[in-house]
Amino acid sequence: MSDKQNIIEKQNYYKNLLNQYCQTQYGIEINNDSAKIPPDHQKWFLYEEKIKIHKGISHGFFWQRLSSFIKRNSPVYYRISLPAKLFSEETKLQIKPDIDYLVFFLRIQYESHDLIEEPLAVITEGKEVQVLDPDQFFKFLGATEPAKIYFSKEDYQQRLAIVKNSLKDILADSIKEKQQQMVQTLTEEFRMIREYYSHLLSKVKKTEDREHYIEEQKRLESEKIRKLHPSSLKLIATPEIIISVKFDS
Amino acid sequence: MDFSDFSSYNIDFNKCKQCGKKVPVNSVFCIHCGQVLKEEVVKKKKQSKRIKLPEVLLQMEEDNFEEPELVFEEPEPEIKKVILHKRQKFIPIEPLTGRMLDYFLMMQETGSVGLQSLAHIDVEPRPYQIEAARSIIESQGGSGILADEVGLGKTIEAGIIIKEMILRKAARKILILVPSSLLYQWEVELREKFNLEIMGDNDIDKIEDEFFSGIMLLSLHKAKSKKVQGIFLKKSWDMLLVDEAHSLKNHLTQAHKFVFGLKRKYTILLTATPIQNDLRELYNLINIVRPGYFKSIRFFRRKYMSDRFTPRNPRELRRMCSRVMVRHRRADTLIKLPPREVKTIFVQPSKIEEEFYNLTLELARKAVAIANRESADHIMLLLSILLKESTSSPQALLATLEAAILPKVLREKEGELLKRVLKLGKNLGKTAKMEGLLKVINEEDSPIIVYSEYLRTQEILTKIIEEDGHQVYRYAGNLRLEEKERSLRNFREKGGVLLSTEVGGQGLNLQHCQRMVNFDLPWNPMRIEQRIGRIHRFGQQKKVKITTIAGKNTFEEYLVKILISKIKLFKMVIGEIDSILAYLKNPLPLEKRISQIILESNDSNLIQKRLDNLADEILEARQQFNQDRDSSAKLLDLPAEK
Repeated sequence: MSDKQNIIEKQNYYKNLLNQYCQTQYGIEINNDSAKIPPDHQKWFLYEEKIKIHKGISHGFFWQRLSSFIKRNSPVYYRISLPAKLFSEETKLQIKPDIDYLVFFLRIQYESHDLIEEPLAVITEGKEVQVLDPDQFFKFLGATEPAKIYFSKEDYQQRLAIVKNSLKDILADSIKEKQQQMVQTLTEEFRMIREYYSHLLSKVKKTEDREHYIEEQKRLESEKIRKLHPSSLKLIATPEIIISVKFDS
Repeated sequence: MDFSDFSSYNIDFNKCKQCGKKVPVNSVFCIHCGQVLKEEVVKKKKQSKRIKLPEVLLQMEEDNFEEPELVFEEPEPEIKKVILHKRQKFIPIEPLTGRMLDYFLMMQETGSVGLQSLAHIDVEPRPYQIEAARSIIESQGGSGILADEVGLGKTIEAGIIIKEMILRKAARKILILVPSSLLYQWEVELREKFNLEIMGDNDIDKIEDEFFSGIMLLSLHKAKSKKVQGIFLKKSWDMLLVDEAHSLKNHLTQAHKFVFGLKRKYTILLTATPIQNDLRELYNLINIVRPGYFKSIRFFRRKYMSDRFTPRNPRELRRMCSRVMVRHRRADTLIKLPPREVKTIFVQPSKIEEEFYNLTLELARKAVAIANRESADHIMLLLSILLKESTSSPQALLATLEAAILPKVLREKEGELLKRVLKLGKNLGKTAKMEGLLKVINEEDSPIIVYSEYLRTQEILTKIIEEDGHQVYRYAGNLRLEEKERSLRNFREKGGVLLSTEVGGQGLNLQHCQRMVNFDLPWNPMRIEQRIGRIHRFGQQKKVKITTIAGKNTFEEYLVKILISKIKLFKMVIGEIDSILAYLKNPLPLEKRISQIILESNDSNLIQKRLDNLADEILEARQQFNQDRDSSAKLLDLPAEK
């Protein structure tokens, strides 16, 4: 199965589950090509009662509106407990029982040669940060229980800072890959600009015109550097879900 | 020229491997299809002309780069409150399933972005508009040409891109350049549909501030003027948008040079006609978006042009264009709207109404004569409002006149005339136009929208229509948001008459209604189009009836005749008039030109004649636009080869 097919399969899987969830939780009825919205929630969908769902657009209008609706109507933070053995066996992570962990599900945006977005989940305890496969965590949802977990302000801030500081290390490979793509794109853009001006300058004799074109070329090149130099790569990390987990022994 | 004729000359030929046609023996390229015939010569030439890249760039491939900037968006304060709460407030864990499913769904397509903007705009874009925006943001590095056929909503596509780039913090300094005639439309669209605040003419000084950020919307004509262009050229913009970008087709013009000279990270051009007369124009436009994309004009000519008008290799050219350009045809979008039935009613004003109208016109003309140069623009604007009000309702005009906003010198010199106008106006109640409106409303027992630009007119119409036994809902700028929403909701559910000023209800569709009346006519055709667009839009199933009411022997009558009968504005596809007006040579907005014609002509014959000339100008622009539209379609819209 190709990557694209794989993605579509996965999306359909999550869409189906989300449909069932929305129906039971909010009364939003989602069929194949339309969604019926109860009056209380219509304001999130431009006051429409029925919305057409266009096929082939995974991030289309309806899904983005639904995503926004879910985010605004459900908490960001949860407290749960999980059996430690079950979790560590499945994830192969070093998990200590009876210790409080924080799990962050993040959205990482790269402004590189293109705008790119990637998911990242990490689990923290003390000064340790481990990367977690988000799909794996999802499997345990059925085994979770609400739990009483308390973090002191200092502890919470410390873990947040640890996650923040570890991100560049965690994302090192991904960052390197994006930077290399930026170099490639920058090189290509430079090549195009230089070829264009070498042709232009070969035809221009007048000093004044030549100077104008040379200036113009410099300006274009510096603009490309502003956009595509690897050190101008920008990342935005946004915690989407935060879960405190106690692993029961 | 047919080179097979060369057989009569004493020249040796080979056959081209690509097209099989005869080519002179020493040719480096095939003269028919451009195929390289002598690789070694081309290679040698390439080597001798190899482009030198700066050292710093060559080193980069090996470098370890500086650490990139990372912004960590701190979770919202309320999360902290919850997480740190000692009393262990109970948090249900069921919603976690929904949250996680949403997270997985949105993050599935690694390497791309979901358009968050779609959740923050007050319009539902069509699927092809979403795809166009995604294509520019994701695959074209944030720059490209939006070249949909006219009327498919390029402004919506551009709006999504702007909103997305702002939400994602990828653009803070945005410059939008449009023809003067489209300034109003852009402002309204960005504000109403995308909740974006914009800056304009009066804020140019702010750009010079080192920490300037925001959206600057200006006419290209103004921005490139010698007086201010330096300010724009000095700034490093994050994003540049140019609407009706075919005005940049000629690389020798000041407009092209100015736009090319702007410092910018992302460039979006909008045009329905990227190719007009000459293929070179396409080259010029793409060169603004990606300088050097086609290497050089010589290379472009050799590879893609048979002559100025005929592409050499259309399939390859289309492929190249598709990497920097998004284009949809109407036929691809499945947008089919029901027909429009257009009706104009000319009513005979009473003697007093006629006198009232004529005296107002006389007063306005006298004011023009008195106005000095410094205040001319201001006075013209004020007088054009008075004139429009005079054809809307006496109540609207009186409100303005009584507010004593006319210049002191006019009030002193023409005090008597002013008094007569006021006296006549006060004696006027239900006008002939109002009677005409009631007739139209009573023609059918179905919902109807009545548009008037003025609040006072709306108030008097409410009274008259209610007295006639109809349920009236008002929608106007002075109402609170909840009141407006209530009006629209009631109108949708219960029918009746919706009286609306210009700001009528973006977002909420009114497709249940098929009747619309222009009680007064804006002088900007795009505002008329926006009115129609409220009901004649995607989702409308039935024929739409548009009625315009005008008084006989008034300039409104001439204007209606010109716009409806001569230019056939109501028969045009939505968006067509925008493109046509952008083809006018005179950059003054149409509204201003109409106001000049009415105020600077001494009698009604001259007004008619000059409005007629203006209509001819628009028709000529339309012809030019249609030619260019066909040229673009010929090259860009050929059916894909199997």
